[in-house]
Parts: sequence; C-alpha cells; structure tokens
Amino acid sequence: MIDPRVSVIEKRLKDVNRILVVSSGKGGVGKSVFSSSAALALNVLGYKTGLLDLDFQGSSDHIILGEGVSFPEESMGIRPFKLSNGIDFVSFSLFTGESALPLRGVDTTNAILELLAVTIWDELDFLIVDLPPGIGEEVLDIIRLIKQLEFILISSSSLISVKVVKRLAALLKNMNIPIDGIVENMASDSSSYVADMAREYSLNYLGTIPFVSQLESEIGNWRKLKDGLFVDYVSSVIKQIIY
Amino acid sequence: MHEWALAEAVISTVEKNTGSTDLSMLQEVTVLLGELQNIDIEAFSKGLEMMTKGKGADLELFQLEIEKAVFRCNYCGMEWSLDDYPGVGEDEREAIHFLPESAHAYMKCPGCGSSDFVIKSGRGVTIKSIIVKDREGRG
Ligand SMILES: Nc1ncnc2c1ncn2[C@@H]1O[C@H](COP(=O)(O)OP(=O)(O)O)[C@@H](O)[C@H]1O
Ligand SMILES: [Mg+2]
Ligand SMILES: [Zn+2]
Repeated sequence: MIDPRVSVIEKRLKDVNRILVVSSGKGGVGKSVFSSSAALALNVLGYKTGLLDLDFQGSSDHIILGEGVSFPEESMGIRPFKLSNGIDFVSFSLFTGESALPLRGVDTTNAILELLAVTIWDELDFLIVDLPPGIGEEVLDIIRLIKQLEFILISSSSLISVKVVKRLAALLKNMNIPIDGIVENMASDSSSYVADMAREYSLNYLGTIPFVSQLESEIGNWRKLKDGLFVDYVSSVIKQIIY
Repeated sequence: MHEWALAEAVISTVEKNTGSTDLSMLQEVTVLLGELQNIDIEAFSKGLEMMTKGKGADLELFQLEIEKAVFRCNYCGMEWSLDDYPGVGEDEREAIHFLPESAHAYMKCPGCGSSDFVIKSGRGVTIKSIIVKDREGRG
C-alpha cells in the first residue's frame, strides 16, 4: 500500500513564501492568541497571510478571530476560507464545528496528511501554523511533511513552562529545524528563566508580552483585536522576524 | 471537485515510484477508494484523465476498487461497517467526504456508544499496486 498524499503536499504550498510555526510544547501559554494576532498583524502590514490551525482537539483560532466560518469552497481541491480581511484560514473546525473530535495518533496523522494534500493555498507571503501543546503527531508530521519551516517558540515566564519549552527547543535543534526565536508571553518581571533559556540555547529573544487584561474582551472580534494592545505587542515581535 | 486533488496525488506518486513522467510503461495501477470518503468515481476518473493527458497512459489501466469501511471500537471491541450504521446527516457526510477523520465527531460505536474507535479500513484513497510493463512492452 502506498499513501498517495505525501507526494503533493510540497506542491500545495509551493506559492507560500514563509511558513511560521507557532509552538511551545506547553499548553495555555498563548500560542493560539499569538498565532491569530500574528496573522492579523501581518495582514495589517499588507502581507498576504494564511492561518492554519493544526490543533484539532483544541482548535481555537476561529473562536479568537470570531468570524462565522463555514465549509470551504471546493475547486480542484479545498480552498482556504477567506476571512473578510483577506486572511486565508484553514481549521478542522471548518468541517466539524464545535463537535468534540476524539482522535488517536494514526487518525491525527491521517487528518494532517489529508488536510495538507487537498488544501490548495494561494500565493502567500506568510502562513502561520498554530500547533497544539506537546511533541506529538502535529509537530513531528509537519516537520516530516514540510521542508521549509521556521519555528517561533512561546513560553510563559514560569519555570514550569520554560522547562517544557526547552525540550522542544532541544528536539528542533537536534533535527536542524530553524527557530526564529522565543517569545515570553504573560511575562512577569520577577523571572528571567526565558531570557536565560534564550542565552543557553542561542535563541533570539523576540520580546516580552505582558498580561493584557483587555485581551479577553477582544476575543471573538478580529476588528477589535487588530486595533488592541495585544496585537501591538505581537506586531513588534513579528517585525523582528520579517525584517 | 476535490477528487481532482486526490487524483493528482495518485499520479504524482506513481511518477515518483516509477521515476518517470512517461506513463506508457504502466501496465496496471490499482487504487483503493475507501467507502467512508465516498469519492465520486466519475470526478476522480476525470481527474486521472486530466493528470495523465499526453503522458502515454491508457485510462483503462487504472483499476478503481471500493474498499469497505470497517470500524473497531477501542472500548468494547465491536466491529461494524457503514451498512450496520444508522445514517449520518448530509452535512456530516460532506465533512467526512472532505476529511474522513470527521467521522470521529459524528459516529459512535453501535455497541456501547463510545466515540473511541479506529477506522480499520476503507478510509480514503490508497494505491494498492503499481505494475510496470516488462521491457518488450508486454504485460
Ligand atoms: N498576554 C496575554 N494577556 C492576557 N491573556 C492572555 C495572554 N496570552 C494568552 N492569554 C490568554 O490565555 C489563554 C490561553 O491562551 P491560548 O492562546 O489559548 O494558549 P495555547 O494556545 O498556548 O494553549 C487564553 O484565554 C488567552 O486569551
Ligand atoms: Mg492553542
Ligand atoms: Zn463499543
């Protein structure tokens, strides 16, 4: 048996200039708000931007952006859902909405393969990929299937987060996967674990994002989110990566 | 039609495996179409036709076989097929057509009601075999 899907994945992404993978290993550190905000920030800067939510069980980018999403168009393949600001969006939630999606490993790999093999991405300057926590199928499969990736690591200031992110950083370094740097999110002044880690692993320290109390009131409304303080912070992080 | 994207994947895999875009050397390619994904055979064949155009392959050499979908419950061990399953709705069928793993959002073990099951077979498109002609051009 030969799986035909692997051979076309690179082709589906051939018009995408840079693929930025937002990852952490740790959950709850802000990967999804960062990913969605990075897509908004790039969109505002005038770049053609795509957003791929690969967190099947915890998909949340559609909730953060809050535009009614629906089945994507079909034309020689599946076309990303176009948000009204022009961001090309793909998520398992386009297909299954808010239903629980209990997937085991092989099924997760199959879903990733299928999604990447049938989605035809238009020309994009940037594609942001939002990953679930952990170092499981999602991380390993995109590394296996897509050659040109750059990782952005997100950590909170806590030692608990930093220790887990270190494991991912070590894995990526070991596999020679480019890392743009690390972002300290929901930062507290009293800790320097993330900065220390950046030094220890020779990673760019891309910046500090404090706890932004008004962020919650912007969730579900990308127009508000894009003009808010959180996206301001994300925008200055992103500018360091793209310039 | 997203069948086209899958047909393209099949042809590009055949080309990778034979190391050539000249498809006249092909004797037979057997493709399994998983019952769960409910591929439109006509659309898929059109896709194959488009993708093989001018490459010397006869469409007849593509054998399309429907593979029955079988599910197995991880909780109670029961196995079932789509025939024993009460119908899923239109939208659900459509989601499963695009992404067969959507079945996990909509199907439950008919024995115990668990959502923890595996798709044992008949999921989507796979290539069962690629047979190349011998040097004299015969089978
Ligand atoms: N800098 C921040 N300020 C305020 N709330 C934040 C910040 N970063 C993340 N959050 C909140 O923390 C929660 C977890 O964020 P999320 O992006 O879902 O994390 P992850 O994707 O890493 O699991 C969300 O409710 C999000 O709004
Ligand atoms: Mg998330
Ligand atoms: Zn059962």
